[in-house]
Amino acid sequence: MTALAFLLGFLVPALAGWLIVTRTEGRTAVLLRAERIALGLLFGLDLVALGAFWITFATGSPLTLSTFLFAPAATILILGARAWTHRPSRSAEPPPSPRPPRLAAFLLAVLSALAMAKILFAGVTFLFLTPTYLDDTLDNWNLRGKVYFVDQAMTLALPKEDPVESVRSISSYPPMVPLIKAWLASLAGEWNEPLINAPHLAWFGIVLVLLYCSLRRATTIGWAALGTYALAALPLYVMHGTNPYADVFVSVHVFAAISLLYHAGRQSDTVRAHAFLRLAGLAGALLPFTKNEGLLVFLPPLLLLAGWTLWRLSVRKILTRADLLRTLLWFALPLLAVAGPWLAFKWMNGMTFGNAKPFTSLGFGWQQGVVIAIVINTFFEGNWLLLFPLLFALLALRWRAAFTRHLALTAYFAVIYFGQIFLYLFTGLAVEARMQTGYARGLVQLAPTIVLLATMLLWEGRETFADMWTAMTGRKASE
Amino acid sequence: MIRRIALIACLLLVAPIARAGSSLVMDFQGKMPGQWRTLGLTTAESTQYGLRIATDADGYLMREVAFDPDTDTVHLWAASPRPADALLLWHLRGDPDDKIIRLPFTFPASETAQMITLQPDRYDEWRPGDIDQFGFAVPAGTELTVARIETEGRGPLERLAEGVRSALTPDEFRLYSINFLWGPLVVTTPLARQQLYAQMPPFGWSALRLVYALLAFAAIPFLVAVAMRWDKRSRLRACAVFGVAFCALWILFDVRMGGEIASYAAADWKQYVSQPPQTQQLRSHGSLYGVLFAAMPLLQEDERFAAFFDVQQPFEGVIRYYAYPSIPLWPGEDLSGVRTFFVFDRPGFGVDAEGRLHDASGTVLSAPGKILLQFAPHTFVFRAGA
Repeated sequence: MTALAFLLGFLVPALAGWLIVTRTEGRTAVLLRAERIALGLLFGLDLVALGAFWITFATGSPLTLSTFLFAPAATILILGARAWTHRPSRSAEPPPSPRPPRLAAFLLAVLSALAMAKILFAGVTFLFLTPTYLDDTLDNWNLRGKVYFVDQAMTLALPKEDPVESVRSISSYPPMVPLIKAWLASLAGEWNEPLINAPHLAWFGIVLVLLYCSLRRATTIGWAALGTYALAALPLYVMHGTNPYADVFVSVHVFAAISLLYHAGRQSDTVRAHAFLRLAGLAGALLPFTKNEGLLVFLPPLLLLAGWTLWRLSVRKILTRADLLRTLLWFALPLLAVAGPWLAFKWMNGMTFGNAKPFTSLGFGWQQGVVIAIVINTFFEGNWLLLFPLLFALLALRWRAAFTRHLALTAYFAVIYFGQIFLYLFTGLAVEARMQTGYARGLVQLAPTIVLLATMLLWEGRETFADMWTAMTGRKASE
Repeated sequence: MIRRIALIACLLLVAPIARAGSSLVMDFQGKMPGQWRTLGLTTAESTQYGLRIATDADGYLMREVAFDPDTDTVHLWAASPRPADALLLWHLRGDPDDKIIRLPFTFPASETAQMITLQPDRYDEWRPGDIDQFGFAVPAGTELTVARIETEGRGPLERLAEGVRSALTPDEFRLYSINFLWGPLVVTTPLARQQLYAQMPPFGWSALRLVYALLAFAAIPFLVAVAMRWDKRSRLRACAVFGVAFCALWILFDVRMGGEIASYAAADWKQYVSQPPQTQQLRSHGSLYGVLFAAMPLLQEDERFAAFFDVQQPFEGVIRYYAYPSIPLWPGEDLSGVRTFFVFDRPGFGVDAEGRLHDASGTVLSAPGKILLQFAPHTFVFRAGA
């Protein structure tokens, strides 16, 4: 039964999500095949949770299996019929990729294999073979999922908590992750921990596929593999990806939205730009329903950058005024559909905005000990390998490219990263930096975006690398 | 020419690097090693077993010393009928006479001389090359026999070896591991390495300081090439030196941290996954999960049950989550009407002559009943009315 629940629990959403992605993409393929499947699984799982939330919020229906099944089933029925005639004729083709130097390819292959082995070993052990151990999982993600499943309702007052405080704190988090877990448990008919923890490994796999495809679209196999390996090697990201926490889940949604927007801005073809913008709009609309940071931290700069991207595309005459209006609708309508009911739900239940505490209670003033805590976490611990020294060096050395061709990524990273630092330096959120909790989570949520940016800036120097290789070895590098 | 100079420099460095560590032994068995002055101690007499101290007042012993600058460890052998608090004392040359630095420690109770090891080099105040007075103090009521004091220092090679070993020593999977990972830490003595993660934050400094120093060193050829306006090929080669160094250090760091995460999983396999339920241990929570899962069918027979455990441990979330929809009640809450009691590692809890559960203070907690499942002497499931 568990095996069947596992299969159906992922295949049904994957099919529904694939249909949504395909329909949104349109007839001109812009996504690589693996990318379409990964996005489909991501959006499909989200659809299950969103659909159940919409139904239970609107009608008061219990959270039964049929409530969860309604949205994906309806999607498959409605879109499935048209999918055959409206699907892209084929997937997008990545650019040609010359063979990398043999030594570099071998080294990268070995490192990537070790990284994958480590992820699988850790992921299988922590998610499937050992019980829940970490605080946020016990108090939030798995607990709420179990409560939703057992009660067959979105119970807001969690066991052993003050009913008023519970609603304002833990239950004020968007319920997407707990609902996905409740969906899987409903399929199995029992709360089965390996089953309900499986999405976390799926989200890790999805983000690696999306990053690889995003890089492959703009670079070569070697560079795409390098960036993907870099993300898979980040120790704290691996810990999050192989444990039932929600920050990798947020990171994959953030990455999907900003990377699709970034690629939209790089198009010189109206149809392709439109396709990326529609997909970015859909991905961005999901952010408010991931974690509270999705609405407050990641969505506003995304919308600003979307506006900038639209303006740039219209200046370059890639989008007409009619195109702009259509695109705005593609951003606005999904966002309204997701954020509208969720914000109404929060307002009706007196929920707060913030990291389990209201933003308005934070105060303002210089906070001691934050700078040193941030420096230590970023540069002197085992969390990020040498990613941040590399990134800041690249931003300094390749600042022209960073602030022109890759402005969407650079600006997104800078606004969010330095915006968060500002909050830690001047508000009561400082405790999250001093205790090394919230600051590191913010970086986990941004990690795929940061790796994409760093790899693209490294790619800008590929000719220099090739010259260095030739100067060292006396042989030409093929890329 | 450059290679010859580099070779000579390396040879000149070998002697100081390979210098062995130092030690100073003060043997109190049958004699007083050196000139000790005492103050305040009622009795301090030399015996064949060592210096016997029995005092009704606070007192100390000190003597003049000249430690090797790399002295980092103090071993003390002593026998004491009961645990005895003490202070390691030292005075730094140039400080006022009354400025004595004190490091608290405890002699364990033992019939024969037992060794305890102190690592004063963790503290900035321990500057062995400047110490001119050394000793220890004991409070009133102390009885012990000090057999021997030995100081030890490691040479540069030994420190380097310990530093490498400590940088490769992984942490364990703890509750904070989802928020940060300490990464490679450097300490220079075996004792410090054994206790590396025993206290928070750990002693030791981040090996990343060395990494950044190496990167800065690797950047020198390129900076020289730019400043001296070398030709393009030479500049590229110099830049490649930095690039290779960066890649090598990234890979080393990845292998180190990847090994740590793999060690977390390996430990889980060894202590939990491959174990039968009755012997499963999980990370910092010991046998809680195995016991809880075995007890769960009984706990979930009722809407509410009482749970007793060490409140210093973060077990509430675990019990609440796994027991739901049954609700656990904690000590201090109203237990009336509760018939099932989950007791986890609570010494003093037991069943009295009338069959009632009581806590460590003897307070009766339940109506008469019986223990339905016993996991360990102080870990069981009790049901009233059974």
